[in-house]
This record gives sequence, structure tokens and C-alpha cells, in this order.
Amino acid sequence: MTSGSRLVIAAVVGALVLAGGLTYFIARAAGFSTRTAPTAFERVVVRTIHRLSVPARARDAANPIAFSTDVWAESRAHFADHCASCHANDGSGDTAIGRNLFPRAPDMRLAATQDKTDGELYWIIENGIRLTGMPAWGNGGADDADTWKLVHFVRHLKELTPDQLKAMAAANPRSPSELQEEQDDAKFLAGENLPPAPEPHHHQ
Amino acid sequence: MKQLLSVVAVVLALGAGVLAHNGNDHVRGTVTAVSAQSVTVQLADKSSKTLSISAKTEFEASGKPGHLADVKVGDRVVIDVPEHGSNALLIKVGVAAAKK
Repeated sequence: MTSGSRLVIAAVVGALVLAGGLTYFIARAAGFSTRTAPTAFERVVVRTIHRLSVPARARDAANPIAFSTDVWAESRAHFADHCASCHANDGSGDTAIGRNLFPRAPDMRLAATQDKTDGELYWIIENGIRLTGMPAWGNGGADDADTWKLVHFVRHLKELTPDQLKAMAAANPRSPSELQEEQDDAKFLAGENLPPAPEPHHHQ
Repeated sequence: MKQLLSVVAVVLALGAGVLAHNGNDHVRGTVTAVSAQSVTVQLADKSSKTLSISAKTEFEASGKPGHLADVKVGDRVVIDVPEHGSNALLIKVGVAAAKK
């Protein structure tokens, strides 16, 4: 083994030890809690790994679905039903779940998301991201029309109007207790007397 | 002691007419005072809650978009406020409470 090879091996081992030590330090300092946001180091490492993990062909794929008012409406309804619980209807990630995931659900209106290619967005929706709250919503194929429509939705987030956001809120999934609450509200407003309200469930 | 406090908290919540929904608290009650800045409602347990009104507050009367003028003393209302907050986000106005 040449001295050059030994130097490379030593550098790699040193880098691994350093990364391991840093990971151990972070884990010991913050535990495995999701209360704190990822450190800058964690963000850089994970984003780099994820960027490298998307195949070049997938990254460069163009959206085969043409944008239209129908696609816009369909994708809003789809997003409100499947995605908004974590990402919020406006894509801000400002929900009880999104605020507390590790990493946090991103504000998809910002550059970190908008700078990704359509193919990368499709890949993420279709395949999910390991060790985050983002599940794989598709079967991994390249031609899921609903997923491509969601890519259009992400691209047009900043164009959402208050009325569209209100319509999406009405389409968000509801728990049985929330449905009951809505019915009770309607009865109360119509003049019926109701039994005492149940205990509210509060989260951060 | 901790259990006792929990029971007290539950009992208070049961009577308060405040529910959580879509990340917001939900206040049900009858309007006892209203101005451009705030609305005060009497809850089912006879306690009062005052919530502030801002330019962002939305109104709904009979299921349609409404205005502050739709909110009158004696009306039944359901008000959305942020959890642990006091700014009214949406005030839904219903019928006037029956006089006793």
C-alpha cells in the first residue's frame, strides 16, 4: 500500500469518526426528541444525501400534465384531503403535525422547495423521504397523473385565493369528534340547547 | 394532587363552551356586548369571555359572509379563535337566544 493510499484511508476514517462523534454529541445533547428543529449540520447532510438519491432521469423529468383550471381545482381538492394535515392548505407547514415533525414540514412556498425541479417534487411525493414524516404516496412509477397534478399545485401555491383556501378548509379530513362539533355548532346557532361541551384537545 | 388538578381542569373545560377544531378553539355563547374592537359572550356555564375583533376577523350570518353589524347583543355565536389566543378569527352568527 502506497503512502498516498494510506493517507486517503486515514482521511476517510477520520471523517467517519468526526461525523460519528458529531452525531453522538447531537443525539446526547437533544436526544431523539422532535421538539427541536434540525441543526444546520443535519439539514445540510440530509438535503445533500436526498439530492444525490434522486436519479438524474427522474430529476429531469418534465410534467406530462398540462396545467389548467380543472387541474388546479382537482389538485387543490387532492391536497386538502391528503396533504394539508401536515403541510397546511397554503403549503406553509403550519399545522399541529407539521410544526412538530423532525424535520419540520417545510414552507413549500419558499426557495428550498420551489428550487427543486418538477421531477424532484414528483419523486418526493411518489417515493417519500426516509426518516421524515413524508410517506411514499405512489407506487414509484413515473406516470402517476395525480402526483404530477400535485406538482402543479406546489408550483402555484402563491396563487391561492382566500376563497380557495376556505374551500380547501371545508375539504380537510375531520375526526368524528370534529364532525359532531360542527353539527352541534349548527344546532346551537339554530337555537337548540346543547349538553355541556366535551373537553377540548390541545396540542402545540 | 396532580390527579386532583387534572379533574378540576376537566370539569372547568366541560362547562366552558370552548372546543378545539382545526387547530383553533371554538367558543359557543350568547353575545352580551359588541363593539368594533371586541365581542363578549356568555358561555353555557354563565361565565363570560371577551375576544378581540380585528380587520382580519371574518363574519358569517346564516351561512353566508357577513359583517360586524350582523353581530347583536342576544345573538348566539360560535367563534373561532387560535388555541390559547383571544383574537376572533371567524364569528358565526345564529338566531337570538330566547328571552326568559
